[in-house]
Amino acid sequence: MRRPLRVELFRGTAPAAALATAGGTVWMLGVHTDAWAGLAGYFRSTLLVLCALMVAAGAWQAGRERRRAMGEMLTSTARPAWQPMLVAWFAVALGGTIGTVSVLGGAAVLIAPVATYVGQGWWWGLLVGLLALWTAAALGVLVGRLVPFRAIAPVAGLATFVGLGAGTYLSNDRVAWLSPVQDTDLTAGQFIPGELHLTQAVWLLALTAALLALAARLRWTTLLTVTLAATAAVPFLTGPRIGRLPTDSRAIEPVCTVDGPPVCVARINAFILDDVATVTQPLLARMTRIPGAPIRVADLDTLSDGQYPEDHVDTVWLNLSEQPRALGGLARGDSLRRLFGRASLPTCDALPEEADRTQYVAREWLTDEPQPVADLPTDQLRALPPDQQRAWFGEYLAAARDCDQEHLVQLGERL
Amino acid sequence: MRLAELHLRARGGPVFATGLGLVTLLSWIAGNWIAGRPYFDGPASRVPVVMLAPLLAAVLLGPTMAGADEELERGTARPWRRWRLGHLLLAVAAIGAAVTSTGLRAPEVFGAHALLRNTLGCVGLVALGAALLGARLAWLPAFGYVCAVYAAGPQTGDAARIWAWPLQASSVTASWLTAGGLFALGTIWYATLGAGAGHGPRPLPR
Repeated sequence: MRRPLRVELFRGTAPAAALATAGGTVWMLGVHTDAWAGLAGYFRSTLLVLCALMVAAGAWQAGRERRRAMGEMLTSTARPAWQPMLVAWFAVALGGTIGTVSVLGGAAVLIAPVATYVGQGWWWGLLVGLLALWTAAALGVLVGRLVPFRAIAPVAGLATFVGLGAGTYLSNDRVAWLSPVQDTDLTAGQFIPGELHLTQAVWLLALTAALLALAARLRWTTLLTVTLAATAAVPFLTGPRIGRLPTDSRAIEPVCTVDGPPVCVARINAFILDDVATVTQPLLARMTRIPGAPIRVADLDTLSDGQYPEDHVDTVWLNLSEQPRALGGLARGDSLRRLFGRASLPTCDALPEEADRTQYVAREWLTDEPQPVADLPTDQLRALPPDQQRAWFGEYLAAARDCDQEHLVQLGERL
Repeated sequence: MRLAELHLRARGGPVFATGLGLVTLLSWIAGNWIAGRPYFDGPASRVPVVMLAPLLAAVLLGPTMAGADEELERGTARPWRRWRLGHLLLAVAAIGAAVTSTGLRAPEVFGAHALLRNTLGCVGLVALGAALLGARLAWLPAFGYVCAVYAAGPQTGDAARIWAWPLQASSVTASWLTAGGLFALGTIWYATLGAGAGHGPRPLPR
């Protein structure tokens, strides 16, 4: 059996499948570099494209017999008809897996020196994801053998993409987990429980066997494997709602700076702690000794799912979900200052224009970021001695916290 | 007329028409579903329909770009260039009319103009694919290119107006010029030279 497999691997669709999945993985990682941080978790989102490619590759491989008019020749050999089909499927699945794993391995090598936390049980997510590629190849083989149409490979691939894409919009209950594509955001410290991985793996294995048996037209084997697949699907169809995924407590542990004003980020974001501190510590230092001003920065990812930041005025809560870059550094460093300005100062709605201008002055004084209002008297504020600047800002904080319009207008007129 | 009917049957016209009907139906359903979701907002949400419906229809056109035996066909005393040109123009009119009709009732919501532009571009790429690679692989350039652009996500910038033409808003002139250029190039090339050699004759259906 080794020789036919070698021939299929080198001369069948397997090399094209390897190239396609490698290209697809590179492309998905390349255009979503911010998602590399949770590489294993993001792989499950990438499956939306990879499964479609594998279905197309499987269908292309299975259509070969018809394209090359090999039917009679194959039936004249001593081997049962399902064996060449199985070898062809195995070769495509192996090719696709090699293409994907080689790119993911390369990405892991690049990320390893930077990453501060890989995620709980990440390898299970990866294994089940790879298993899904094998299932997709089997589906492609079945479709390719059933449908005598020249362009069935791309049509089946696109149909798979649309179907799996639509599946991600199902409510996050058990039925959605029949699909290997999960839009789970492991970078936010969530993880897929082990029993769910196991149930998915059993379902995908049974489904693969059923699809291959159907493609090989083995009546009794089909009956057995379809029964197995239906049994494996029962926990998804009848079990209780899964709801939101559990939080990985170690991923969201705060990691803090040791020098200067305290800045804390979740362990999964710890590799950008210095970058965040570089931006936010000078801003915190600017508010030192101002009564009622925040004294520390915290990452929203350090909160458990469903938990909200307490209304502590001494903490600036930042949403860093779009900040980490795969290989370190901030994706949007310039926006972090604006984010800090918005998160650190109390905001009042429906203020008169003069009071609103005072808010913009305070924000510009703190962040040095240009505001969407012209001719602000921020320079007059900066021209005051430092003690008076801080006193003005302290008064502003107190007035803004109470949304005291008169006081805010007065503060603006004072400049 | 009889000849045209035979030509279309020999090229798998009925299968293409059935497939196009299904694509149109799916495009209609998907467009309505997206437009009816409150959490989807703006033209970016209809990108899957605007890109994939014309692509799918153009992919279905691929197998009709050559007969069962291209060599045998070319040996007949027919003005094949005119037949091929007519075949392609009829196909693009059918795809354009069917796919665009799913978005005509509210073009600004369903992207009818973008559907038409992407039909032109995708059919052009399929025609180029047929001329270069043969009818068997005619779908490959359109499939590969559009999927890559789709995966790249929203693109801005002057260069993106050209290379990411399927993703652009229908008001971007450069995207129309690119799609139109691809259609013109593909049509001329295919009409002049016909489908590439591919891998020899296709076995006749039993």
